[in-house]
Amino acid sequence: MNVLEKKFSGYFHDHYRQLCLHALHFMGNADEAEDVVQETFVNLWDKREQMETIKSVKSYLYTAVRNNCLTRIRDAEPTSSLEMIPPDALLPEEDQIKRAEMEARIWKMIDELPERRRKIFLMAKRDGMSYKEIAAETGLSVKTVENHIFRAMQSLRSKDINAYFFFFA
Amino acid sequence: MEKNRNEMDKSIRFVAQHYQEGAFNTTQGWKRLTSSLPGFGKRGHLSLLTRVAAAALLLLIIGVGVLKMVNQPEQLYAETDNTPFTLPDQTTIVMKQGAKLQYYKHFNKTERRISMYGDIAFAVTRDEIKPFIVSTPTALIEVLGTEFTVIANDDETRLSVASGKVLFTPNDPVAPLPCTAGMKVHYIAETATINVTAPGRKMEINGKTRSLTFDNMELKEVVSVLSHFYKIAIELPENEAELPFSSSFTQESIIEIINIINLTLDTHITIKEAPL
Repeated sequence: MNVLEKKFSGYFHDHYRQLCLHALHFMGNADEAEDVVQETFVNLWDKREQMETIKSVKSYLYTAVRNNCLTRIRDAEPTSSLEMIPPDALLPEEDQIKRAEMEARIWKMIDELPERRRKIFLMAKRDGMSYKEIAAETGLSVKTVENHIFRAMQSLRSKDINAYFFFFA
Repeated sequence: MEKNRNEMDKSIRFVAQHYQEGAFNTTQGWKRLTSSLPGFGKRGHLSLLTRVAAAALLLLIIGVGVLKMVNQPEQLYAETDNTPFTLPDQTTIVMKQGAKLQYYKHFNKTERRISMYGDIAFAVTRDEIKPFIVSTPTALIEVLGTEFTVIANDDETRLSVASGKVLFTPNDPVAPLPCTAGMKVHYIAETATINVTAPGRKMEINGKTRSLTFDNMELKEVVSVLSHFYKIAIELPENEAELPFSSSFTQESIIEIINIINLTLDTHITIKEAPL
């Protein structure tokens, strides 16, 4: 990998998941969000000779993702206006970056939940199933389901992700 | 504080609602991107060959005593004791009768994650980029490359480390415990009790009674436990890290505990103001 490729790779690895979460607020769909982020990096690669002149590549990436999302939304629904965009997708840039970074950490932490706990947590929070329905589906008691969800929320709120980096540093 | 908590809960709800396993994966995203950027890198053939070789070896080894389920995720079940198996990353495992292990088709692409039940010994191939993560019903175990055995059921997880470093994180209390060769961990979920033993030293953490017992543990280990148990940053001078420490605490405040350690060992441990 040459120097330019290394830099480009660094930007990608540092910001990819965060940018996907950022795009998700606009697109509302994980596949489309990922497509937009991919497209944004392809554009950045096309401008790689000018990469040095971009003052803050991170800021550039967030802005570019946002603009690419809005362009896609307009192209898909030419008659739609920005009023269709969820209001929380239009926060100040700094807040959007902070939120995307936090949500990327949450996404990773959900990845890392123990198998069964993740499944039960998603049944409740993603699929909207009641504790009773989850209990019937999994063969667990309602109390156990409740406990799994409580503990999942507790982990997501408090798990010290720095421990991983501390340990393997 | 309350506002931050609300913001976090809002974000948790948002992420959960859109969560898809394997999505937003940086390594996969990178592969997809670089394959569409002409002239970027020249490592595609090598990684393809590696994957083909791993898949071929996997097919060779499948059979003796291991039932491989057809559906994703890949599921292994040991019908007899000491059933060997080689995972796609060349990690070798030996399963005791009744042990189960499953991994997803994305295994070894971005990380190496498996979930398990029963008694399984692992010899993990070292890969610093892709940590090997073992998930049991009650704990999470993360390694880079090492040999260890895990015995897990719905209520408890036992870990025995033969070589290398392992990070053991019980579900409750969430206290990541670095474990090295010779160490054994026994976690019981119902009582939230973690017992760690190593030659000549041991400790017990009880999340329910909030009690901690250290017997001849190194200060760096003690401080790491305290730091996660009390969710607070603690500074330990480097030259004091390996001092041995023994004592028991039940519901003492972290300030009291640090004072006791400093007084008994004449050390200079301090609590940082910022929480972890």
